[in-house]
Amino acid sequence: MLQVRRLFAALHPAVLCLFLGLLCISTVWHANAQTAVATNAPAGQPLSQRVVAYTLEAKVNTDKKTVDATEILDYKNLTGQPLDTFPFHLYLNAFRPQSSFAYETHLGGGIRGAAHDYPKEEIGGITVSQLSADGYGDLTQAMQFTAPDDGNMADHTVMQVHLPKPLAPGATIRFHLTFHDKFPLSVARNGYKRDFIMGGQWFPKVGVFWHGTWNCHQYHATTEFFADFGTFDVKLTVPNRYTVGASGVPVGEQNNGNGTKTLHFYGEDIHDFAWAASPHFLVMDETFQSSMGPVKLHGLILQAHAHLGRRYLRALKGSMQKFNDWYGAYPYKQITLIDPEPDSQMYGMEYPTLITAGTSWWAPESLPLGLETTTEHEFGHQYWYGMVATNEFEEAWLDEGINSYTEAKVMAALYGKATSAIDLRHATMSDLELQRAGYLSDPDYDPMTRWAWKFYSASSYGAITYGKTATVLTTLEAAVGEPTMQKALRVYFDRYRFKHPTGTDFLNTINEVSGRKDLQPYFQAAVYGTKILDYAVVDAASEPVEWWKPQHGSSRGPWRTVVAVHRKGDFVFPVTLEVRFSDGSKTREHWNGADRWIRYTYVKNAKLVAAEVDPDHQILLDKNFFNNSYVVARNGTASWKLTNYWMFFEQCAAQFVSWFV
Amino acid sequence: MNRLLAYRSDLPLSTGLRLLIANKRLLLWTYLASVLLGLRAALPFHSRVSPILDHSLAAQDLAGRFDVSSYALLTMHLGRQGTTLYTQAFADIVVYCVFAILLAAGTYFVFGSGEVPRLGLVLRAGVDYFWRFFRLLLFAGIIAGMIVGGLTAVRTLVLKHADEVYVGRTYFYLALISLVAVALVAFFFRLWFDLAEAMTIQLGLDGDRRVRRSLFPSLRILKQRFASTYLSYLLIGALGWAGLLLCGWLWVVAVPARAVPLAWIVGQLGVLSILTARIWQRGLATAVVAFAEPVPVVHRAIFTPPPAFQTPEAGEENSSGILRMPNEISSSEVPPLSEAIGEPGTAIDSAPHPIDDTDLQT
Repeated sequence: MLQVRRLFAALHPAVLCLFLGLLCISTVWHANAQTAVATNAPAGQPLSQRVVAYTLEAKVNTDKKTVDATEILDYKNLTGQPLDTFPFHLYLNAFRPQSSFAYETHLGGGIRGAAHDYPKEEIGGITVSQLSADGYGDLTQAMQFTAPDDGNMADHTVMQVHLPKPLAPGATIRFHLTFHDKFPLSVARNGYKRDFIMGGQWFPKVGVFWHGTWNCHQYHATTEFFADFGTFDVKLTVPNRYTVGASGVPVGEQNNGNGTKTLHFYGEDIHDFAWAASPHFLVMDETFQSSMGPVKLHGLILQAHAHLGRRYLRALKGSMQKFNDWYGAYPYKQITLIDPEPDSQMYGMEYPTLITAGTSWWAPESLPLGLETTTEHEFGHQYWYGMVATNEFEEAWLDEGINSYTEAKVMAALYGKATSAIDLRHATMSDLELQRAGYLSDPDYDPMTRWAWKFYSASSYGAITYGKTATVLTTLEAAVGEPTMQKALRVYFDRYRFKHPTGTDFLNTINEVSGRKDLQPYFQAAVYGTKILDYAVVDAASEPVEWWKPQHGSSRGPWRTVVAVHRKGDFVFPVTLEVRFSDGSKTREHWNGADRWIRYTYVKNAKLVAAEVDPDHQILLDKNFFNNSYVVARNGTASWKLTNYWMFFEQCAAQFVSWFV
Repeated sequence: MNRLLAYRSDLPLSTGLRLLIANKRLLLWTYLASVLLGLRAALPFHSRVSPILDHSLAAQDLAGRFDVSSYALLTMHLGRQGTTLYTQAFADIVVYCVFAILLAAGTYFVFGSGEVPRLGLVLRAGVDYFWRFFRLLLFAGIIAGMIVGGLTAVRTLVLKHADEVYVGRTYFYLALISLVAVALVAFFFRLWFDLAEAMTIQLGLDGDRRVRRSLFPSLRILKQRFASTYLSYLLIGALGWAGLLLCGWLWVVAVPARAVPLAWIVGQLGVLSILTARIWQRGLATAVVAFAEPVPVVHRAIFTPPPAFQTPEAGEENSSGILRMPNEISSSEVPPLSEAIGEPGTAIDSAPHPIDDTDLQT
């Protein structure tokens, strides 16, 4: 003790002050670190109701494409009722020919391609070798596979465990699992391609107790995911030459001295944890200043795509800015962007705070449809899925659909309203038009609200979930006004982030913010129904009022103009008709569309020039824009232009084929 | 130096071009066939889309800037009609291929015979030689199919393995180089069978209808002067495609979106470019066959023609700019049979001359 006093006496006061200052800073830093490591949450408070806490330690065998791992899961029973059964997702077991996923992909196609055979390298799986719980002992023998959706007991994507005694409300149970993953060759968001490995859905994940019961669906060809919020403390051991990107933020790295390293990541207020590893990643980082604090944009770009790295980050940054301005702040400290191996099925996928995009080395800037669209779309999922964590199995339109709608808006703002998908000299396409075309490719098999795996086909799922939802919301935006729609989405985001809202919550928010009481029929037809909206100008002509008299010259008057509009589809929607006359005047009519058709008659000293339904082009749900108008004067430019294309390509194709004969 | 000597200048490239120029009408007929095919596909298309577009304001999205989604939706609205159009267009290409055989045979015939390339003559020759060319096509399909198909399979296998290692630009260049390699082999076969077609005509002019007589001799001819022939052939093809690409580029950068007639002209110039190149290649094939070492003919009996019956020199050009095989005699130069009869007991070697394969060894 005396020696300590002498030591302090020997210290210079300035050094002492510096020491004390550093101590204070360190204390404050540690205090913050303990409460908010991965988010910019005010005062470091949790942003979500953390139901789960996962601690995972995994050794990745990059040669065999396997993982051996242990998992500790703390589950807090906030359901208000005792729980004696716990279901777990074992998603990797979908990559077996016996699974429902494989069968559905074979039957109706998956969103990333149909399977006509099942090569052995595409077989993957997860094996849980041990499961126990503190206070419950070894539960390995209590594990059993279930198939709540289709009864396929060979599916193995869901298992459940019955506890010997129920978990009391408010109590926490700690599970210990040991499992082994075998990654498939690039199937549906997952697996490996060359020496790139995508660790998605790679660990046993508990279901969500929701609306009074467990919600733990099987993995299907068209379904995605649903999980509770919590924390993830993950250690990954990989070869030294590998670079790893993961959900959350990196909090440590240790060289194991045997050619491997252990990387430590921590994520909070997220509901899934994914990682990607490759020896070919280049690190490209930038910072974005969100309204909640700085966000690190962590780009892991393949060396082969090094020249595209900045384009990725520019698209990401632009998207973050628009979302920040329009809908709310991105609260996490990091977003990791993975550039996956080309020609793999790991492109374009969202995980909390980690997205995979995808491109080709030659991707021109005049085609935002690839790199930029994918980056924007997957970032958008940080909001519609990541934070507003809807049930992707049952209401996919709430994440994919709303995200497609916001994608079209953000892309239009960043890359041009008419050119946000294709911007070539003679050919253009907007992202919104792409969504609409997608919807019209399969418009009436399924309603938006159908459960994802119950759609008629993968094609219908894509058309409705992505395309129709975007088209429906854009049409709705025209009805309620863009600022109102933007406000409604902001309120929806603020109200339901870090929660699990439903479609009703979303529609009620729109009703509430817009103050409109008349939207229910629209929702009924567009969201819950499959009706087609199609208006057509079927009759439009002028003739002299005194039609029986012989013609003397071309400018007799007055003229009677008749315009008839036909509602060809069953979808009733109020429309505007604009009629233009030869004297430059025009008139607008508003029709509620209730009847099957309506006819307007005008008597003027001018002839009809054109009549058009929806002259402001707001009703994107209209199936056919070509019949929305009738112009009296024939203009054959478009038809001859296409005819010329047709002829030219026919001639070139014939020359190519005849070369062989 | 007479024109014959000029043709003996070992430049089949220029000879092919001169044959093309001397028979411009062949290009005209071939181009008209292409236009007819194009119109056959385009006019039904126009009759389908015109009622949809000509009175619609939405069509402006296609008239000015070409909105890809609008076109996609237009094809959706065409429905079954659209499917019919595609099917018809494909079927027309098959029919065109048959017609292309007629035109090819007619072209070689005109080049080889020196006849004036009247349409009737071209078609008649095409019909006369159709089955011989069709048999050649079958040979070509089998031989080239096996070798090029095999190479393609090897390429696929190699690329599959390469795909496990290489990505991006490196993989692209691998794929491109291997594709070019396979294409070069395919070009070799195309050239071989072009020579075989030219030789089939020459044999036909001698009254020999056997297609097999042309297959291996033409390969030997190609072997004799492979480098110059092959490179010339490639050069012509490249020029044709360069012309097409140039027109495509002009179409994109210089033709206003609404200038349909101008776009049509530029497009047709592109088509004309590849058609010209193809006929030029046939001219080259004819010249190569004509300039080949004379094929020894085994005469059944010794025959010494009288002075008035002198056989023209190899590759000699007649007044219409035609080339003839060294052992060929134009019908106009054949004297009446009574004049040609020599001493009693001397046999006249009458066409067709039987030619053994061994005789074709040079």
